[in-house]
Amino acid sequence: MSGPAAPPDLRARVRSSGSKVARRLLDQPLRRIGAGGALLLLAVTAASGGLQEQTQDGPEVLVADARVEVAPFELTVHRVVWTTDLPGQYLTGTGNRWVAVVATVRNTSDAGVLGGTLRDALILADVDGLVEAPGTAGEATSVALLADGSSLNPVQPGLTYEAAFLFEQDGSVAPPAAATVLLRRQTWRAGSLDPTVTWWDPTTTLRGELEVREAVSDADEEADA
Amino acid sequence: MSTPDDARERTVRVPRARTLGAGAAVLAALAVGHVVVTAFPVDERVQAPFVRPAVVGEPVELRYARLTAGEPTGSTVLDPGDRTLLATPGVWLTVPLTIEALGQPRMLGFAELVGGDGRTYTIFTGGRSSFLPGTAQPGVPRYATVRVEVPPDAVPGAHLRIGLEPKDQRRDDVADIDLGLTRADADAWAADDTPVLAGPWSDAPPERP
Repeated sequence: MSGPAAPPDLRARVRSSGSKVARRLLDQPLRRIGAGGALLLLAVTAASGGLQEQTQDGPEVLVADARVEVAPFELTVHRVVWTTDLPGQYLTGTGNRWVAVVATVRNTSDAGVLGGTLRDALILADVDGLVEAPGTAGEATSVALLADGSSLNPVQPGLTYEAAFLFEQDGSVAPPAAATVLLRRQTWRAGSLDPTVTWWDPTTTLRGELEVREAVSDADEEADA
Repeated sequence: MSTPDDARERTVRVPRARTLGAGAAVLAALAVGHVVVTAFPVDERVQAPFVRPAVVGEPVELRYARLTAGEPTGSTVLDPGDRTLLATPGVWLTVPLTIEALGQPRMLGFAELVGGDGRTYTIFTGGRSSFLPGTAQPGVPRYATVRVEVPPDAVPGAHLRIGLEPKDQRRDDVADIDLGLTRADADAWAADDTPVLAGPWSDAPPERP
């Protein structure tokens, strides 16, 4: 079967144009043109890496207290807690609370990176009422150093920091009992429009659902003891 | 007598050879250009900053300012001058700078530390490791302190780099200051928890201890 014929007015226009290529193309069955187009499309995508072997099937399971590599960082997620009071950090709304992912952070590259790159490395999901800036779905409001409460920025190479990724939650929503933590690897490359080389394309490589508990202050621990 | 079909044949056939030739010439020119650019990669050298070497205590002349680095100090605790104290898992390194703007007001916005370990330590205009001298007016020396946290291994042989534009130092002067630091300095600072002061910029010279 050669498929439906081209309309008579199209045939007439092709004949009057004198183009041999157009005439031969019109004589081809539609099925052959479709197959040729598909092959051409495949060749174009193959040229830009479309046939490369897939290196990863999906995110691996994130386990608490296990050290993992998510370029340019080495992260160890310890626990997820919530609290209403953190020295040096300010909530945007009265009655809101912090959901904090406590982690050990180490920059494994050979240069310091700014705090934005660190915030891109760990995001939170499946928590209702997160207060987020536009275009920052699941990203931490800030990352605070446990030792002094300052914001961890820049993150210098070769240093191991104990830090908390802070996510603000609306106080009208109940504190979460569990949260999904996603760790994202980034790629060192030049931008499409800007030749400056930096960390791009955060891609989730680990995912884990962790229990969320209320934070216990040092004073509470001493009272319990 | 020629028909319209003959005329069309001529207009189609005669330029075809020329068009193919021109196309081939363009492709050949592109290929030669690619070979030249690949064989002589000069882009990085053309765009490289003009690095002006310097040492502590001696002024270095840049296109936009005269810069003098004072004696570096360090500790494991930093006093930023805002009634807080900053800890670090490494050591704090501070370098006092005197900036004399040349020609017009200048706001120096670039600083980084090239550690003796070969790694680059980012210094931002805000944050923990920072350099924020504000705008220096010509004829009025501006005093500001660079502060950066580094592992002790990065201290010996560290160089401080200072420039004008925060994001782009291409084809512009950059001071490269050898801080003259040793392993003994790193060890002494790593064992010291006396806060080292790195206050905000000033137009008055800092008090010497």
